Amino acid sequence: MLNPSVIDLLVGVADGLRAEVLDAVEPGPARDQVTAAIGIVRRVARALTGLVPYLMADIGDLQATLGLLDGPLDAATATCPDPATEGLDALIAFDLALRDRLAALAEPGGAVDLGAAERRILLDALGRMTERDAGLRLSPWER
Amino acid sequence: MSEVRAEGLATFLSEQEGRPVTVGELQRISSVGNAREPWLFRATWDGRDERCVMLVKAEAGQLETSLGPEFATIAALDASGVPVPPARWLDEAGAAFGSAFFVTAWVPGTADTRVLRKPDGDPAIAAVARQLAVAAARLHAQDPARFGHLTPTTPETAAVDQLDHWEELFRRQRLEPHPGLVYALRWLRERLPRAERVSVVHGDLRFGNLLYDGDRLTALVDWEMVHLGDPVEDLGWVYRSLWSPSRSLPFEEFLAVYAAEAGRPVEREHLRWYEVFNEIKHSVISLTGTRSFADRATTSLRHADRSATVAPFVRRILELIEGGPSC
Repeated sequence: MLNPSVIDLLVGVADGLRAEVLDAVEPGPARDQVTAAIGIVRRVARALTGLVPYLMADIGDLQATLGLLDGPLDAATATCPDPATEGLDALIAFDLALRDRLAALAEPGGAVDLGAAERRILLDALGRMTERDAGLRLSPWER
Repeated sequence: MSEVRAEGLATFLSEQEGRPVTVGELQRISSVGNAREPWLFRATWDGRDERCVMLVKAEAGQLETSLGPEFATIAALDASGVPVPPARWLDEAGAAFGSAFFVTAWVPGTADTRVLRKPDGDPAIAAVARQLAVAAARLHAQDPARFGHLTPTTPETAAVDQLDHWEELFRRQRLEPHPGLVYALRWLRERLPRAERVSVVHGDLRFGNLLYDGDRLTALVDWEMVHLGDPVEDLGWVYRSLWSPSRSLPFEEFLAVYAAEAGRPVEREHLRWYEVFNEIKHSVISLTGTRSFADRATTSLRHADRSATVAPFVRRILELIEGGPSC
């Protein structure tokens, strides 16, 4: 059985809470909890559809950026896990490891001397990463 | 949090005053803040009858700050020309009902920020923003020697002291690498500014942390991040987009009012450094909220996904680093 999908169910829960529960709760901590819960449920629903494409795009960009800044990638950095066989957790861990390497390059006294060209590459990569992050985010407090 | 009861509060206040104090009309009031839970009550003693506000330290959330410096600062600013609620009592040990709190006299006004979103601005908010600029200049003109309860700093170390503090928090609270913030910290360290002078810095000076009554600024509140530092830090925070009154009063006009009261202009590169710094500071506050939830130090769902707010802060950092306009 595929329908209603897990995503349909989560969106339905969020819509139902907003339509019939939120306004029935007085302003205060309880209403804050409901508001936040609605946001989290929506974010989970969105993550289910968007997380793998987000991670694949992020990983590809990070690999290219690290290659430009830090030379050819080693085998561990160049080989992306297959989420179909290794699971989503492996993909997330791989992405975080790449981000950690980029952060290490950005540190004062990092392995790479950041001249003007390297800074341009780094800033452009950070800008693209930030836009991907902003696209995935769905903060409950801004709706 | 322990249960707040009028009996325990009355007992504590009576001990403080050395005479019977009665407490009535105790009620929790709503707040968008996270670090302090506000309560309203009426205290009566020696024929005096005063409406009071009690701020109770909340469970772990965004930041861990102690009440003592906050209360001592408010007390020191009494009759200084900086509008603050009159300080009354402090229970830092939580003797009354198990949680630390302090009490101030009630001050009329609202902290409502919805009016900031009016597309064409609001003349009353413009007036309040001008008064905020004057209040900020007066705060920054206070003699730091009168605030001996705050950690001292110097013009040479004001920036790096704050940067060290927030970077340490960042490294402790983050749940992932955040290379954009790491690079921003490096960028700041490469161009540390020297403060023209050391001042009392509110640390969270903005709409939302002030009370206004019509077109009148009645009090600056929420002093939990107060410290001695560079006054430009407050100016790089007060017009951040989340709470900017720019639709009512442009930032340039705010700065002009501030400069006229302070007797000195604000240098733009100096301001830009603190604008980048403040985006990091707010990012770290958000990361701390998420860390508190992840560590089960709070059950507030509001903190659970706070780190999702970091992306637009990093976007703003990159704009500023690339030379984008202030506020």
